[in-house]
Amino acid sequence: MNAGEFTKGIVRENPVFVLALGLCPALAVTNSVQNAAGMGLAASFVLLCSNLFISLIKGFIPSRIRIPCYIVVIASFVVLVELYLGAYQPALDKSLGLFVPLIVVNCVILGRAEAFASRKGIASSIWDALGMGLGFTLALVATAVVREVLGNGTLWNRAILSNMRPALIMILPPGALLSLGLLMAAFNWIRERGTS
Amino acid sequence: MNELINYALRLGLLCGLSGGLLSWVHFKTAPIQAAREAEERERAKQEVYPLPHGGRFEPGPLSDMECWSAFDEAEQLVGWVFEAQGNGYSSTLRIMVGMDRNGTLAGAKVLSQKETPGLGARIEEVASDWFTGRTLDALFLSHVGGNIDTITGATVTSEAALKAVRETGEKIMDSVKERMGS
Repeated sequence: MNAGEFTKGIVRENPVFVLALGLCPALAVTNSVQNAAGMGLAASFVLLCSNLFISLIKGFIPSRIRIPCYIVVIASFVVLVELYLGAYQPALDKSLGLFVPLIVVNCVILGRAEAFASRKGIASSIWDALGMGLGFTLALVATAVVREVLGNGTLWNRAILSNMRPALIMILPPGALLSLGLLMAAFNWIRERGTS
Repeated sequence: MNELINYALRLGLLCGLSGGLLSWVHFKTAPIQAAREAEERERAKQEVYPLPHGGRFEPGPLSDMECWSAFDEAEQLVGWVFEAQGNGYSSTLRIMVGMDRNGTLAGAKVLSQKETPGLGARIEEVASDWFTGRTLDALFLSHVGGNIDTITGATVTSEAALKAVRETGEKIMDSVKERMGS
């Protein structure tokens, strides 16, 4: 049962490609693989902590004020990440900049708190968070691979396409919409062929 | 009514816990971050104005901006390092510049910018070439009579960077001249 809670976030209910949640960071920080991986890990960490904590205190939170309570919990973990990056990961802090505080309103995290952690046990919530976090990170990295290779000619800051001029549009905002849209279509095409 | 108080207490308790935890972490990490930033700044200064061993930087001559006077090992004033700020196309450009006493630039490094990737962001690559060895009055783009080539597709960024360095540098030269004149 736990295996199912874990794997559903990767393909069947992938937060970005299938649920179409958390698209703001998926569009904004996927201009390099390093940024995408950093954002994916940061959001996964917050997701794991908030799922765990909310599942732990779900009896304490009255249902009518649950959303403010979730936001307080999520925001606390986000600020933790922000302080950690500021002190120990200056390069990532510089390039992710504004997008780290925005993890607070990442709908993947609030969505999992509302739809899953507030109803299920601690173990299931941890597996759910790990799977969803991994699915989110993989989706971001996949988009970033396409964008960084085509738009900058590099992969993880290493030059790989030296004999062609990179298509600048791919690392600019239109490239984010193009690559995310095409990847999403391809992902769902394959997924549906697999299930039918 | 009781229900409301109950809600307020629970939410308040949660916020209190969160605030306590975060202020503790902030208390622990703030000095680390400050030390790292100071070290980065020190390294940038040394990069744009390499001083021989025994040389040092001192704050000044202006107090309303980030600038330092550079002294060599014989305690002679050899030049200045300053931070020029200008409004680029989509962000504030912060450029650290080293300048000797004649107004010739010794080096430059972009500290931070968020210009368009691939266009204005290339200022990071060209800054050193643009500024090193040039005097303040030579900081003009080729289309207004200078001999610096604009970054293709980023005229606004190019102009902003040159203008910021030129004006900040002149401000320092003026203040120094004034002091010597008086």
